[in-house]
Amino acid sequence: MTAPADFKTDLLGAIPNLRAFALSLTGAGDRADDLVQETLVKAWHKQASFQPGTNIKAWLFTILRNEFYSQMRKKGREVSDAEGTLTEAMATHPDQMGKLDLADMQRALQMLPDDQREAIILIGASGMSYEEAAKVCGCATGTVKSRVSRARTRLAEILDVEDSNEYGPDSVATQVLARALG
Amino acid sequence: MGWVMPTSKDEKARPLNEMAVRQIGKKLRESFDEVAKQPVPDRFAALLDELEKSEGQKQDKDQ
Repeated sequence: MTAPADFKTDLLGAIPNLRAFALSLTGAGDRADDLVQETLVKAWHKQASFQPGTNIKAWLFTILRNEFYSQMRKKGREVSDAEGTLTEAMATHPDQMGKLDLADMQRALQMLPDDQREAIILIGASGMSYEEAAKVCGCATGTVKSRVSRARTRLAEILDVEDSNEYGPDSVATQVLARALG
Repeated sequence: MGWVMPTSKDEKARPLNEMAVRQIGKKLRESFDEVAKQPVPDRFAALLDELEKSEGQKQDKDQ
């Protein structure tokens, strides 16, 4: 068993990633930090079930994910019928893709089915391997792969980037790259 | 709306061009990193201190 001090340090070190994961799942900052707090409390009490030397990020993401779904089951889903409104409100066009900001991506993620959203966040955003993501979601690697692929297609539709080739992909790519290298 | 498992035929009918995949990937990473780079609110360190303390005091407490 890890010394408590090391465990605490590991938890502290994982918080930035947990916050980003939580925000991607919830789409709301205050809810996200509450979710991180719940996760840390749960993780602390489950310390005995963590095997030192294994991936603590995946372990914590699993706890956070399960906590998120159990909260959703309790509260019921608020945004499920808001899809049309959100889509309309976004009205993102291909030539604006380069200006797409954090909030746009958060809103787009909220429009995905839960299983697709978590898959694309784990793989596309947090940089987990398919194997790690499969463990976090409790499903097969192939299932994660197909969810990621469907999520990408859906995000492209929502963000209207599908036909971006026709609208000057070079300028868009340059902007995106410039921001990425920031 | 119902999503069915994409067959290879579906994939062909709706190809997602490489540029779109790359754009989405970059954007996803950027938005994740943007949050992950933010300073961590003090409440979390305080929470862990609290947990550490309470563990010392009541070690036999369940869950």
